[in-house]
Amino acid sequence: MIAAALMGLALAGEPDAPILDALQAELERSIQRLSLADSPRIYDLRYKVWSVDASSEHASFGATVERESRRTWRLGVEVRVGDASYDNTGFGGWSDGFRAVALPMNPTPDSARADAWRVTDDAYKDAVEQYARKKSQAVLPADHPGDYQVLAGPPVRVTLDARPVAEPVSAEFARQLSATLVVRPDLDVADAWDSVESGILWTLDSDGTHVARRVCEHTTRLAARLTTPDGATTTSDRLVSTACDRDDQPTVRTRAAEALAAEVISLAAAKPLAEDYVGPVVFLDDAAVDLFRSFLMPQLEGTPPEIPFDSFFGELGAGLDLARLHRRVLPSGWSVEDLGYDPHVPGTDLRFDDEGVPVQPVVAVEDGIVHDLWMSRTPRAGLDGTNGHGRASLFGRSVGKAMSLLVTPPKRLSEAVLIRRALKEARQYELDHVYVIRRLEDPALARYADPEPDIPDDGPYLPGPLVIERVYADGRVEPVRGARFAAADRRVLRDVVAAGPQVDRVVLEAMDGRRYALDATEGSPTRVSAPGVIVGEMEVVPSRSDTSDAHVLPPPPP
Amino acid sequence: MLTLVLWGALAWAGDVEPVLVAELDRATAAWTQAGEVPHYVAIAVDDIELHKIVAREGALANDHLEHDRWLDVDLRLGTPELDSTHDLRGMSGLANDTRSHVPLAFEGATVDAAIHNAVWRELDARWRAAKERIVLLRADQAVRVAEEDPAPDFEPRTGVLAHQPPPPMSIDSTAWQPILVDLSSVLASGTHVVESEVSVEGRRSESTRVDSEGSRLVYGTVLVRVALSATIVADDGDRLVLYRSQDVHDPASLPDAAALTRLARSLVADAEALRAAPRATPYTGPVLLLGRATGVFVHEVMGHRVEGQRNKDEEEGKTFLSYLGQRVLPAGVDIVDDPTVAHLAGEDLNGFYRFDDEGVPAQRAELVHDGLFRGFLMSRSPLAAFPHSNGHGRRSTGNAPAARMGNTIVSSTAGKDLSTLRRLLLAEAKAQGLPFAYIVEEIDGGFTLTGREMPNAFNVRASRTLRVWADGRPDELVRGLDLVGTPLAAFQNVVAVGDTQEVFNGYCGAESGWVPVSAVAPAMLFRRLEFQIKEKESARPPLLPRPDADRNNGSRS
Repeated sequence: MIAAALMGLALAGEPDAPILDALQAELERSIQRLSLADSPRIYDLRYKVWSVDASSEHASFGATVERESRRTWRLGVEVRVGDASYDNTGFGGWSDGFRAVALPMNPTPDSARADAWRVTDDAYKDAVEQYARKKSQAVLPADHPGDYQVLAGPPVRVTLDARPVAEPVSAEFARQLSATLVVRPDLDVADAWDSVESGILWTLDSDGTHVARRVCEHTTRLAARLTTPDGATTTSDRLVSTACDRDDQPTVRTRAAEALAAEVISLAAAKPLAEDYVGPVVFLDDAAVDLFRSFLMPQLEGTPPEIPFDSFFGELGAGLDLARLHRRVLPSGWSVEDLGYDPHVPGTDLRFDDEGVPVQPVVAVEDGIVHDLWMSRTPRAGLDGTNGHGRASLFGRSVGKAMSLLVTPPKRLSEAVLIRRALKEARQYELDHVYVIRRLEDPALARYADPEPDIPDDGPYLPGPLVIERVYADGRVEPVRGARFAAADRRVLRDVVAAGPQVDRVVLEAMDGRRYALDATEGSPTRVSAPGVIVGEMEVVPSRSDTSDAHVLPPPPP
Repeated sequence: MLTLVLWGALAWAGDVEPVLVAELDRATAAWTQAGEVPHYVAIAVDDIELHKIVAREGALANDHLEHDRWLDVDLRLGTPELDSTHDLRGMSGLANDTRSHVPLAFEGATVDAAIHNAVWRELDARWRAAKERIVLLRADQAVRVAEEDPAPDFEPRTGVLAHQPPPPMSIDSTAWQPILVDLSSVLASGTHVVESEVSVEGRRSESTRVDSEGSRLVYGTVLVRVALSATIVADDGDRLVLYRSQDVHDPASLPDAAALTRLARSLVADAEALRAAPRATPYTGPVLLLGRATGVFVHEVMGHRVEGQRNKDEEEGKTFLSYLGQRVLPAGVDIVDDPTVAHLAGEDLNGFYRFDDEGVPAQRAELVHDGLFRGFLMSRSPLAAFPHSNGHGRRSTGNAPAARMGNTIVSSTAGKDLSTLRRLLLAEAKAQGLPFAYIVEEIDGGFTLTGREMPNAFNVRASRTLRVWADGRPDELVRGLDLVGTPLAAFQNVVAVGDTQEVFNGYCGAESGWVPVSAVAPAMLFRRLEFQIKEKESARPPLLPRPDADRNNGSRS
């Protein structure tokens, strides 16, 4: 349960206070007077106000191809009609009571209020119609815990730090990063996207909540793609996401570019996988993080999915409930917790979530079994309510998400010992080698690898292996490329037989789970700390390539 | 042999030209070695500078300046008679033919190397795609019947050398921001205006083009638009978006603040008047289109149907192909499309350009002379009867060029003044036993279906229409009408044409993307046209008054 506390009140003197006062006035007018006859009234109204300076550079082969620099004000509106036990949310389709609108880059109180007036009016009408659609179709379970959690206690009114000041990204630096990747003349992609955002996200609601959180993120994505003579394309990347005002950024980013450049050389020399493999697989480095990110995190997100809207277009809305409360997701001895507020996570300050609730640490998995979930204010049967993990886009329902995930095994082995253990497991399959996966493909770059990526949309999936080593019992190590996992699903986590070194990364998550739809530097920064592991048995098979996709013209001379 | 066309100083080639030439030469050598050299390759780089300043509700909404550079490759394997761009029929038509939209580097010490790399990749990809397509085409030609129009796929030409970059473009943000903010307050002051916006947008487009015929071209345009819009919702849910704009070639020619303030006030007044106007009902009878409305009407109803390539496509209606030399309009009426005209009737024309997007110098194309249909807008995709381009191959970035309009200009040697046309309109209504007729003052766009499967018809969206009573009652503003009909019947009903041309500047969207166009025309009187009622939204107007009106007890300051 959350006890909303009256925290440091620092509202007076905010330079943007007149804008916020105007929005607050419109919020109050709407709550009091916005209604339609014989229709449910608004019982909860939230404004999220995003005021951010953003600058970005995109360099390709050492030269600038795209530049963006602008101040953005946006207003997100969440309208709930009915009451907390039954409202317009949790049902599929769009036009559901959640909307967003761009405000002028230099809004005045009158302009901000006029925009709020228009978008709140639209969102209210949407909410009333969505409520009716839900009433007409949705059959709720007997233990339906309600649609929204009304919090007791005084409203939260807090300003967390001042608006950060960040330098715009440097065109020259982005070009240098990109140029570092050009280690071969025949690369298809050697790109760097460098993006800085700094500003404030305010949350105002009809409970009296007024939370100002600073936004401070500097994200760099580096990508390189190579087409080999067999027509296979290999796209690898590095992501560095830090606070917008840290001074160690250039070094971290330059090292990432150098590492990716070295990886490209290695991938070019790798041999394509020729035969199917069934046996133990070792996940190390970034691949370990992505294994848990792909298969574990969705099982710990507690917000119930929407009930699908049976429409002309088919069922609209996510119907899969992936949470595994009270079930085993990992072997005995493993624990998983979310640390809650973590100053190392860039982006929007996570001392409060997107519903104005203080973020709490949560131990979700003990001894391999799920005992708790990341929760927003959308209730779930069997759990107490929000633990401050509601995260949302500017115009969507907040859902329970991880913020700083820590996966802890009962015992960690060194990398060398872990691989020896895997080779020992491999002998049961009469194999003299195992596969060590160090990096998976990033779905966010799928479009750079394939204009029409084939990505499953019916639940969590594991992206394909990218940096692969075939490690022999006699110590030989051969780089391999051109492989994919066959039929891998979340149950592979229960087949983890040993853990190795811990890996710590900041990744970018999609609020709707669709990572492949994200742009190069888009997504919500989330920290994941997880160990390398051996999965007892997986199937790794050759991926398809087509020699007609190979280049025919020789590349330009360097 | 090269045709040399000179305008202005000859400072050969933009920065990127040597890189494009080098990659073209390198690729040609490799293709020669491989034994499959395209019969034509063009590499174009489009540099687009965009500066847009927007204000809403008395606040600066945006001031954005960007530079984009795009690569476009036109590569044709086979022969000019049958090449890899030829339409495929049946299942093979589903083959993916990806004319790419490739962003290109524009800044940095290694910009040339980056462009070399991008051009290499695109030439390679286009050649491989063309090679696959040629295989499909040969099967298509063997299996299916001969096509209706045996014209070649492409017109070979001699190369052209010209260096005519557009002038620099500079829009003064410091000067324009306060003007636009003030204008946006005027627009927002309308009692029932729910949304409004004012903007100045400048776009400088410079293309550098090299091809395998030896063309080396640098050319482009500067277009600047000030635009005002206001949205108002009637009590019946009709969402009315009113729009006014002025297009110029030089930011210095934009209207001043006083003129724009008058325009903003008239827009608000028009919006309020239109909200209060009744929705009209379907009608057929005499209609007078004023000049700008006539321009858009001719653009939609005739212009798209005389785009050359449509008349070799076997899914198209080919409305005017069999009318060559025949009467389609009254004697004395001429229609040309002339992109070489920069200014007319006191205004800069959007459809002005010097070279089309296939490297062909812009030319005047005669479409109708003395009421007789004379010809088509031609790109380098010939018709059997029209083997040569007249410089109308146009595209927006990422699309294959097609014959498109530029400046479509209607004139008459027997033009009548407006009062005469009005008298004729009412006489025609009386003759048809109708109590009223209509005058369409403004058309904000429309669409037309030119194919065979769907009705070969048009829908032209009237945005300001007056009901004119035969008994002398005052004219009455109405809303909710669109002109519909079929092209040949519509033009056969033209009974008179005005004597004063008006200019409509706009942007036209079709298969080859959005291109700037102008339509210049006098008023045109039709014995009979048909109106259908316009679609209408169903949302109620906002439930609460505007916040500022609410504070002032319902009145706006």
